[in-house]
Amino acid sequence: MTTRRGIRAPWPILIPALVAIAFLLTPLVALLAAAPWGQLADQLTNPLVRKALWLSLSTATVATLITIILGVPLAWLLAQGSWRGRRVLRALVVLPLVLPPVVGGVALLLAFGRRGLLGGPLYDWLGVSIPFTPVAVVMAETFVALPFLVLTVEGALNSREHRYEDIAASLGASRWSVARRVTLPLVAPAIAAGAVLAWARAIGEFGATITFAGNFPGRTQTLPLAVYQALETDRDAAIVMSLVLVVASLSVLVSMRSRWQV
Amino acid sequence: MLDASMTLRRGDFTLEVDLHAGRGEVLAIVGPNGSGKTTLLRALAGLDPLDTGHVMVDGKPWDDVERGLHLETADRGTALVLAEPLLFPHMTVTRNVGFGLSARGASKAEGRATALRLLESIGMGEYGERRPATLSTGQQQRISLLRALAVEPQLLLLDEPLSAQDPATRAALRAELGRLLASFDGVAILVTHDAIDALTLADRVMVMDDGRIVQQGTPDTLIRRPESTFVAELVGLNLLRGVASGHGVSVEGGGSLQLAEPTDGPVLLSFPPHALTVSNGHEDATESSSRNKWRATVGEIQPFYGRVRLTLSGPPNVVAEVTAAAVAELGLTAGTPVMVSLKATEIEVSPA
Repeated sequence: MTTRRGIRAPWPILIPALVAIAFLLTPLVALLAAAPWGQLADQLTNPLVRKALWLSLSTATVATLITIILGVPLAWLLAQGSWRGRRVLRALVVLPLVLPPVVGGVALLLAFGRRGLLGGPLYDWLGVSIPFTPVAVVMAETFVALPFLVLTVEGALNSREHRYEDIAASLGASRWSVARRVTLPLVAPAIAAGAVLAWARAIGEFGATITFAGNFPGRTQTLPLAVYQALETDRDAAIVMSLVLVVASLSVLVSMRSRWQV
Repeated sequence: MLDASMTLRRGDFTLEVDLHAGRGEVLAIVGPNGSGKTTLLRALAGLDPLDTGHVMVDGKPWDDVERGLHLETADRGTALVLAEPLLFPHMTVTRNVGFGLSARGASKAEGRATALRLLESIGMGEYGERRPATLSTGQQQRISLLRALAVEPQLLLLDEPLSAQDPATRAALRAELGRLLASFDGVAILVTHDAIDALTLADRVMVMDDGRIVQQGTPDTLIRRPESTFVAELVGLNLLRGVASGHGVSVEGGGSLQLAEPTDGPVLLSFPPHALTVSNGHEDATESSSRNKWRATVGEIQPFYGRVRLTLSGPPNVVAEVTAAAVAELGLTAGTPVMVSLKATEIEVSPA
């Protein structure tokens, strides 16, 4: 890193900047101050906390895997030259990023609910009902997390060095072989970064989950939902679960530090 | 073996080229930036489609627009080397060299064995397990040449393979490329804008300008009989090999020259024909400031855009460019003895 030189910033910006720092840090400090450090171990083995933690970790991980399996090909499609409708499709893919998650939950319910667009026939013909199950949790998380991975991977694909692929093809590698042995390894760091972002988004998911999957302890109640509910009944449990989420977020930050220069 | 005739249009630019080359031939394509050299190479590789024409290799059509035939890049017997080495960064050196073989269906062990044998043949056997990023660009480019040669391509496509190297590395790499090409039995197409690369490495040179071939011939023909000032300026260089020792160079084929800067070992000397001064053969050798003076006999006399190109037998043998007035004044005809002089500072020296 080189030190940036130039005209110094005027000193009055220091005041709002300090206010911003205080505003960002005070809640974290308050959380740490209120934490029941003495009974941390007890709280972590509390069945409510344990179930929510396990559900969150497992659903977020499954959602991330699905995001990779579906998102990498989608990113590839979007990065594939310029074709008709590409911009529109791209806008639609990005939509869940800006959509209020609760709206996403409503939309998922209308699509996959028992009387939904696809969920209706699914229930009538096969007797399968998705809403208010762990599967619904995974779907809600995948819905909101997918754009993070797609955008990250698409960016890497767009800025890749195409001449590696020209050379590979000239040496006799088929399209499949070029994709598998050259292109994917070249964008692997971006896939990893996108997966970390997707996982972070999935583990923090609230709005779409509570709308589409409900809030059933041990079944669809993830950590954020459990925190929200416990705040009224078991304050210490809520704080401990919040700390767990802070640790998860910090580990994401650490794993992404080379990308974000932190 | 290679028989191609093609046109490609890209906006205002049209490439229109006929190419023929035999087994083992090295064909250099020289031209300024934007003359269509890279487009031609990409078309041969099947990366860019032709608008009209055909590409035949060993009697097999790779492209035939009239018959609607286009072979995918991967199905042609080519191998591409670009200015930047572009080794696959996630693979070891051995896996890079073996890449084409395994892509063409060789087993892992087979690819590895061939790669190691090739690496050892250029003395880089111990680098096999290294990652490309840990090598210098010169080493990387040597590996990239091996990666291409490993598949024994029918058509080896070299796009400015030396241009991204620093001058010292370039000379060593040029020599290495020369050795590798000498034992290569396919057709090699070498695109370059450097006259020395073309004149030293190629059997035949094609000069391109604005999408067309303006002249082609052996390096020797292009120096002696350029058909345009464009060709003369681009590739019309005297090129001598020799062995330097301090300021002196004993030239291959006889004679010796003096250099401005001392150096040692095998060298390549280049200087343009107009750097030579030709004077009366009876003149006293001490009269001019040139370090290099030698007696020569006039051979061919070739008028060339108001000037005259003279083939002079020394040794050393050179081509000189003089004014028509000088030819008349000195009464030059074939067989006239003359005194040739050349300033040491006009000689460009590169290690060979």
